[in-house]
Amino acid sequence: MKDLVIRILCVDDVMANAKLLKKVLQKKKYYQVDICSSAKEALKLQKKAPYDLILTDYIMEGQDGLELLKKIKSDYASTEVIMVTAFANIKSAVQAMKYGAFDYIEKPIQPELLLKKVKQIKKNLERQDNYEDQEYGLLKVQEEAEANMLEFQNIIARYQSFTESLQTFLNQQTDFKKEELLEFINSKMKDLPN
Amino acid sequence: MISPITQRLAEYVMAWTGIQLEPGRQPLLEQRLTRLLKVHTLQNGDQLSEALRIKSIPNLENDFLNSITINETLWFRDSHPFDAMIKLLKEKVEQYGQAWIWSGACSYGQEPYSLAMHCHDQGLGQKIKIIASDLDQAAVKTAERGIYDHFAMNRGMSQGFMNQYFSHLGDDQWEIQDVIKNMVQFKCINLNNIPSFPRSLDMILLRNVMIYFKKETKIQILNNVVSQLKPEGILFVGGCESLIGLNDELQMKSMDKSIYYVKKS
Repeated sequence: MKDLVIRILCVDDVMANAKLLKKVLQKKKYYQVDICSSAKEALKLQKKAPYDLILTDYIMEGQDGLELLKKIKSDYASTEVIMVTAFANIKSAVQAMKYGAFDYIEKPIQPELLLKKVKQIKKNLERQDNYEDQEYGLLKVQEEAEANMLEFQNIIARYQSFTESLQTFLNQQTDFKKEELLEFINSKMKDLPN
Repeated sequence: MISPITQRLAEYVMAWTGIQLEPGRQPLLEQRLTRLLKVHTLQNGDQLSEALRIKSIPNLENDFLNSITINETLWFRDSHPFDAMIKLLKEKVEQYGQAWIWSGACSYGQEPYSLAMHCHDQGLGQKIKIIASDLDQAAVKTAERGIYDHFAMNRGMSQGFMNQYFSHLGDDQWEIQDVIKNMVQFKCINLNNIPSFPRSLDMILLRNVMIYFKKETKIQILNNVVSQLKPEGILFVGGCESLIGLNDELQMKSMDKSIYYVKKS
């Protein structure tokens, strides 16, 4: 499988929190992390080039994390979202999952736990990428097979036509010289593949 | 949205690798190239093409080739050609004392290792040398390590060969044993610019590779491939592929269910 660099956006209206997430994630070379401080900004960045993962704070000024989650999951199904919350409870977790969040994590952030969840997303994406590689490879094989099948049928048809012409020649001309037959065969063989 | 595959990039890649990038028609490649553009802070395919040309970004070339290559591969793809390969290699070994093989576009090494295991199992281990290549340096490194996860092992590997030739490292990892690794030498080779091999080859495997190239590129690659073969050297392509009308030096032959091509002497 290809080792993918995962693009992550951390959204928090307190920039220090977003920076902290970035610091933890950037310890791994295969995470490329951007940060921003509002859902509005996040959507703008997402529109330019969709992220693999958005880590968003639950409660923010203006549009909150849940609104961002809903928007992302409706417009960019393949982007995963992890909710970051200071008040994890069953209700908020269930709500986030209901709208398609991959998971949620509590503040204060436990780096190991965060990295574990993000690693799972990286693995899922690599599996998906590998699966698409296989699909593409099989599609090309199928295209090639179909094209060759047509070519082979065409070749068979040309040989059949050659045999029929030869049969007609032999039926019509009972008295012919060897040279005439060879000339006839040579003229017809031009239509056959090498 | 970013346009990763532009006309300019497609032309540059075609001249460089022979691989056809089709703007707007390859979602998988567009997705990978969008990721590549963002990682290297490039705006579009034209900028990418320029950065590749002037080599202004370290590692960009490797990352790019990694993005555009397709690594679909299996162990013992279509088992019957391997039986034909062994029979033909036995003849070559009898004739020359040893046989040199090139497995082109080998991805993560499943094909050359499959052939090496088969040869070893048939007592040809000491007589066979396999050169295996891919365009993608990352794939070549993975192949050289010879370590595979459960997901990769599950694609065509028999239990018998797995027990015989792999060491289970634990943690979902199996490593191919040195006795097989030592039979295979990996290299980075661009099929659009094939170097001369130090010796003529007895067999070349180029299976399900040329399906990614257009006809003119196939003809050019085939000419270069065939020039690496000894007279009566053998070429295997994929089961769905046909070389009819592509090269005059090759003669199609069949053995059991397998088709192969022999260089006319």
